[in-house]
Amino acid sequence: MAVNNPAHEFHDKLIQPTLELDRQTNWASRLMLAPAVVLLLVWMIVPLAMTIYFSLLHYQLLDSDRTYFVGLDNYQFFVTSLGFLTAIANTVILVASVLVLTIAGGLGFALLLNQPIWGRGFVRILAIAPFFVMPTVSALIFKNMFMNPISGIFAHLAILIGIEPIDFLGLYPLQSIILIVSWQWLPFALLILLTALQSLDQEQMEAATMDGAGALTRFYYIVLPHLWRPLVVVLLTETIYLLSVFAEILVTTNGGPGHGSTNLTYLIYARSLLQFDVGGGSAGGIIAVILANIVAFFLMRMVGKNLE
Amino acid sequence: MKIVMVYFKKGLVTVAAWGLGLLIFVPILWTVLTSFKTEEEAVAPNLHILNFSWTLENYIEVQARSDYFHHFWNSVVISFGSTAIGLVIAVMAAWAMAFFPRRNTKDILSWMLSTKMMPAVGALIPIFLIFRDLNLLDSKMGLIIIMVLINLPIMVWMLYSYFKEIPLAILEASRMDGAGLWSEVTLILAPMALPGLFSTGLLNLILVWNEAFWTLNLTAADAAPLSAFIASYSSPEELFYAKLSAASTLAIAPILIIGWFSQKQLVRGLTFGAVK
Amino acid sequence: MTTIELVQVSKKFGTLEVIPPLDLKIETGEFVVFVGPSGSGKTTLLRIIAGLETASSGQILLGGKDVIKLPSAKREMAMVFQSYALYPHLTVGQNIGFPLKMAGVARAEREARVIKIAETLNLSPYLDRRPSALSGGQRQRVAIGRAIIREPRAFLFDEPLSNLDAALRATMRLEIMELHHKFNATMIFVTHDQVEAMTMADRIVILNQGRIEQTGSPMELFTHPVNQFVAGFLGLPRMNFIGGEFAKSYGVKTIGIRPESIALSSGPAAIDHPKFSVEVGVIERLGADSFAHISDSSLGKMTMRLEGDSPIRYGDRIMIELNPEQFYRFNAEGLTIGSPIIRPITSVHEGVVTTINNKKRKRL
Repeated sequence: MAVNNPAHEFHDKLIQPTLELDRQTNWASRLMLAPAVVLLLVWMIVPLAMTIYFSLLHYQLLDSDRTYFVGLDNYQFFVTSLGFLTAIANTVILVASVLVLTIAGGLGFALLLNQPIWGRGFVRILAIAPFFVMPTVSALIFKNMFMNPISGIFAHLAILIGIEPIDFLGLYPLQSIILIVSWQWLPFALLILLTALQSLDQEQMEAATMDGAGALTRFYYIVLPHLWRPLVVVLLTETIYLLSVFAEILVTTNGGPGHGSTNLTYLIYARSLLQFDVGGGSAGGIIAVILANIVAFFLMRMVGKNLE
Repeated sequence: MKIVMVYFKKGLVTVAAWGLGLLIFVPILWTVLTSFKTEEEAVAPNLHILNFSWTLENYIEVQARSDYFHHFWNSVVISFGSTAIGLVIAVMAAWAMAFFPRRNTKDILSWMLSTKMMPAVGALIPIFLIFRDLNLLDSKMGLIIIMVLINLPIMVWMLYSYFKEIPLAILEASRMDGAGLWSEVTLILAPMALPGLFSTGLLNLILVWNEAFWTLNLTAADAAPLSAFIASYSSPEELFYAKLSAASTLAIAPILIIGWFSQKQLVRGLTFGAVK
Repeated sequence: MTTIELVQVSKKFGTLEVIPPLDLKIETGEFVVFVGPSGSGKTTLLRIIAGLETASSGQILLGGKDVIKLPSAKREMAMVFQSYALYPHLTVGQNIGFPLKMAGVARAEREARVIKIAETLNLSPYLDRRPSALSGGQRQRVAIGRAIIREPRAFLFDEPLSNLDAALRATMRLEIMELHHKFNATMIFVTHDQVEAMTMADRIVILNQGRIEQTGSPMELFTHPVNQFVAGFLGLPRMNFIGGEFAKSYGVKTIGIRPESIALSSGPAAIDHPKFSVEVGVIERLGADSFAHISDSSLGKMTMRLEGDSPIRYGDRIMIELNPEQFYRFNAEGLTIGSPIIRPITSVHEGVVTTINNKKRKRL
């Protein structure tokens, strides 16, 4: 009975999601949207414009009388400075390692918790807890009570089994920070993937089992496609936050030793607010924005396809 | 025989899951336990697990020495303040976009999300200088403004996804029943949107409570919320594990409890409505 | 209650004209059913009348006054939605009383009227419940209660029965017809279900691609369809259409014949009645009637009515004869040429039609 006329499908689509606008509502809706748009527009443009402007100046906070235009010198200086390449490498290593650890670990744990077990709710509560711990606190706990080479638990355990305690933050600063950050974000991946798994259509799984699909086949053809969307969201969200890891570094290593655990965010912070070099810090900030936008461009394209 | 195998497997998986869950939870558990120890017990190498002299001394000490509750209060003011303001702005925007979509609505939504892509550090210097000139450094008001701005996209998205679930037919029904715009919004829409508002608020509370980049960079002794204040424990002068633990426990407890109760809504908010 | 008149009402989405300008007048107390396939514009037309959608041009006269600029809230019509659209956070009583609250009726009077309405709709025990605690049929009744409490100028129904199961749908049909007579209400009822259209309407408006194909009483449309679309749309099972050489021999493009007009041939046929030997396919047995799917190389696939206990089986070969007096004839444009001579349809047939439809629904 249905007439499959494309024009009418279009028509159906059009009449579904809209309420008719009379003039009053039309105005009201524009007015309501305005504050959010204006605020975010200002938030996006003003700091960025100022940062670009500062990045072209010789501008020292403690000596702001001698401020003058230097063109792209700050960029050249920032890019060729000692810590830059290390910071870029550290940033990439940090983001990539944490993504791999949390997504693989979170997926594995989620699959485990999706099995029939006793006390799933409780285990879930335990496992997602780290996500609610503020970064400064988790960094402090790990730095002092776990990784301290004299009185930390890891040191105690090492002595217990008869090996030399390791100075984690001194010798392996980046790896230690990766561990801390992963501890915070694994619960996030777990929470979202587990929720997604639990919404998986059981009839579909049963149908596949009836069709003779083994556990691996089912995982590959049914579970994984179902998880694709949440996985992308996890990837996107984590990347946004991981590019800006800051408190964990500030609290544990201050970026050291040397530039051993300095990421781009920390490098810019140090240049701006420790060395009071507004021009150099701003140039770094712009570089960070450009890099983030390159990453964002690819991520948004993935997400754009996946959200609605 | 088969039943036994099923139980055996379930038992095995249960043990593995509990083991992993506990392993992840250990740092928090250990912190809470340590907060009740004396400083000597806290660093002792023989790992007292439960057999120590339970004491509340650390909690008292933390407050006495550093005016802990001043910072706790800052956290409360900043997170609730920014949540309240953010909700008002986000509700208006989400309402407009969910119920009166225009050709550019989808673009506005993704643009809003894209402002989250901007690394905070790119705005650090201008914000620092603006705040310095406006006397907003180390002020709760300044932080509230920043918190509203950084979380506004998430709030709008989350509310948008909740509003989208309210059937338009119900709003149309209210119009047919003679409701004007005001009655429609206050009597029909608002009550139906309440659960979504509540979850969005909770998520925002959690995010703001734990935010540490801006709080560390824009506050000092006066307006520092817990996430910034706690960092002052990073360079100790004496034995301090137990006191650190007490301070940490107090800082994470409220949000841990809120978080546990709002897992479902959190997932939804953190995935911009993509996972429910 | 009032008259509703559409004058040159049209609807465009961008450059796409989904409803070309049309005129329609609905009298006070008339029960009009808009029926048509999905995408025919019937719901859009209803929503334009309701004010939920703006017309691109034209006037809508309620009792002679143009209301095209009035928002829905001020048109004083009541609507029952397909999804019921009950307020989930309000009780049944509050739902039913909502239009009165909006009209500023005092609380005491409101409550009294809600109680009265609830009694007529058998909802009294549920007044304090939330809609989510009700069954589909009860929710439907709440939606109707909400519509009738304000004594609106007209009732609009947007496929209100399509979410109900077959048995309930039949009951609700009767209840709505009952209401119509009780209030002498002007009602517009939108449906894609031709059984609802046939059984309930004083007048049917058949829509197709935004145009009115034909309006008239159910039996007028059934017996005198103006074109092939209307002929095929009303009647269950559908009218059989035969084209090709057979139709050409009668000087037309297409011949239509209803399943109940095909007769089993026993003995010699009337001189001008063509006879065919056809193969029997699947037979749908409904009790009082059976419908056989038959096929023949020159006629193609057709459906015919048999007795309920007919001994004919799948795979049989049978002789049928067609009575040209009962042919509908259509030209190349699909328009009806002349009128067939129709046997009077007994009421039994309508009953049959209902059951078939319900059975089909269930299977879907």
